[in-house]
Amino acid sequence: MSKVPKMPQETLVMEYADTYQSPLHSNNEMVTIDSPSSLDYTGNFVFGEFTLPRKHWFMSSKTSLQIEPTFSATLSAYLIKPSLRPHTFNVSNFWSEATRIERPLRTVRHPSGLGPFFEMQETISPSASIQIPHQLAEIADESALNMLLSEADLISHATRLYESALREFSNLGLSAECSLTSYVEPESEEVGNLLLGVKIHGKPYAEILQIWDKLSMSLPSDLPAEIQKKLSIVVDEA
Amino acid sequence: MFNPEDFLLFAKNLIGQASDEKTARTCIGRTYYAAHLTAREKIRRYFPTELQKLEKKGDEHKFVRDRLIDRNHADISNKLIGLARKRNRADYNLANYQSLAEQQKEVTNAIQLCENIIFLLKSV
Repeated sequence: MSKVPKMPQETLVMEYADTYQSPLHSNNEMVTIDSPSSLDYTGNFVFGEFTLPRKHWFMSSKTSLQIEPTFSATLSAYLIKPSLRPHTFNVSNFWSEATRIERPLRTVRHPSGLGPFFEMQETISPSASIQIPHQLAEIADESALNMLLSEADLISHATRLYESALREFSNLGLSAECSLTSYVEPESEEVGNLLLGVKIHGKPYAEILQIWDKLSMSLPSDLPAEIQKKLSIVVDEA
Repeated sequence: MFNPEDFLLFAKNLIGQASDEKTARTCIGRTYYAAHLTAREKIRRYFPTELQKLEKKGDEHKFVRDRLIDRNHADISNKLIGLARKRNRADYNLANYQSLAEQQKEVTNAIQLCENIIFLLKSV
């Protein structure tokens, strides 16, 4: 994680790297972040003044906080922009985006004479971040998002898998809910699978097993075997 | 040689005798190993050397699933993961099942899923 730069309180410094830095000032109410779970990545940002619209932005893991003598703090997180369109969003203090893949590195200096909670707008170029389709990001949990970030080639395949499953639900007239998570063997150190979980409502389990077979058969047949080994579909009773 | 399908019979007998949580968890674990070991022995026919070379026993679960995909049985591979998740829940997660009904559903579904996997493995 990047160390918090000691800086004059009049200046906010943002490095575009694989972490985000949002310096707080000594007159802020200090917030303790001690684990990734402290980040409510589908709702409001824990600093309170910073609000991300639900289902539009996600943050995942790598969360940590360093308190410096100046009471600055650093939150390291990844923002995953699911939309393909450029985004405009409001920030308090200063907040911006970066990616793990491209890691653009630059420094922005902004005078903070307006106070610690001034608002500003930043338009993000869509080319600057990993693109996770909105529909996929909506059903993904943190572990799945991390896996997609580390293996970006899975994104398009996972999207096709999900779209294919949705079509099959429609064809079969099923009421189902989906989630995207990861599966890791508890007794192995191997990299896990990205797992599309499907819960079907109103069907006995014996029938669900047959539906599972149909779903497996209807999945994109051109998925390379190496991708199939990383991408699984698991069906269960809701 | 021990027949791994006996684990399934054992689970079905056991759950008929008691319905407490430790019995349910044990049954789910045995159903997974009935399915996994049956699949492993099928795979051993095609990949005996590779299977023997695996250094960690923990890696053989994914190895078996991946070889099933190589042999165009992604459906069975997926179902093994589904049963493995139930087994991991039963063996590692100490949070109680939400209700007796949920616990019973988990056991009966695990048994059905195991039977289904073993049936599908006959075509491998």
